[in-house]
Amino acid sequence: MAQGGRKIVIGVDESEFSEQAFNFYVENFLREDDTLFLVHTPERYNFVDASPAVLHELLDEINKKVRALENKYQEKIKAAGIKLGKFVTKQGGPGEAIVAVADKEKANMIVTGCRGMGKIRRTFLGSVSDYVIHHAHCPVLVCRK
Amino acid sequence: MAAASKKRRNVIIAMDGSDASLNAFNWYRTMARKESDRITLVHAVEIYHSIYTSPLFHDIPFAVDVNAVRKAYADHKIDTENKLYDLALLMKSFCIEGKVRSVHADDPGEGLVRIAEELEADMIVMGTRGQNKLRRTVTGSVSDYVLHHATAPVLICPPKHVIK
Repeated sequence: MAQGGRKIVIGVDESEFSEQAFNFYVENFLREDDTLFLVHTPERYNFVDASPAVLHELLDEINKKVRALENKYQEKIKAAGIKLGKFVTKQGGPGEAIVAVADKEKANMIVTGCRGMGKIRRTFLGSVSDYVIHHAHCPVLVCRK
Repeated sequence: MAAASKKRRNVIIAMDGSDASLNAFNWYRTMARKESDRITLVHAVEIYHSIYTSPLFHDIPFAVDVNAVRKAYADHKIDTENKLYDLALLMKSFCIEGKVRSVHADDPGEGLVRIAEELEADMIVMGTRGQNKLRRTVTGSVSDYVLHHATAPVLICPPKHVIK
């Protein structure tokens, strides 16, 4: 059955869980005509009290991290043979960003890990994946292990 | 594309007869399915609900008519078999090869997690709302349970989703 290219949104951060999610997508779902949107929300620092120099330093640090993450995933995209992969950086909460991109691009599916960068392991399911599941308008794949 | 024979996936699709589960099945079939997938359609039965809320037990909770109970169980078995048969027909109508299984548990979510472990599922596909009479939450309690307890990846299909 010939399908027009699907649009897949994957939430990514520096954690190994989003790598697992990405790998799972590549190994199990990847189709040649898929278009991939990798959504990343950089950590926000509270800039209110920062002096200009510190502000500059913090912004640099954030930018560096984002570039590094983007490069890492661009390599993975190339290695997997994906032709259409886009790295999207957004401000705000990761859950909201993922759902917003999926809605805007009319994604066919969202892929997310079950956890991320959170320090406190309260539940088996992270707050971002929880948010995405409750707000997404398309199917959501929650990867684990 | 990657060569080498990939491992065949064991995919479980939770089917309770609701539109949401049918939606999930159709989405999987059209968007995610691979020819090599080993598909099992699973019907989770709530033990308590199906037997003990029947009219049989309403009036006499402790005194038990053995024959009546036997009949209730027999009827329930036939009922479940019919549901499984319907699921088999569903797959046949789309020329899909697969199995059907029922699983009994106090909570359907528990049953699904258990059978996913038994079948070593690589993925669980399910809808968010089902047949439950009580609409407790925005997403169904069964999918919530499975999401939190399953060891396999879970594909959740929302009811608003329309297959193009």
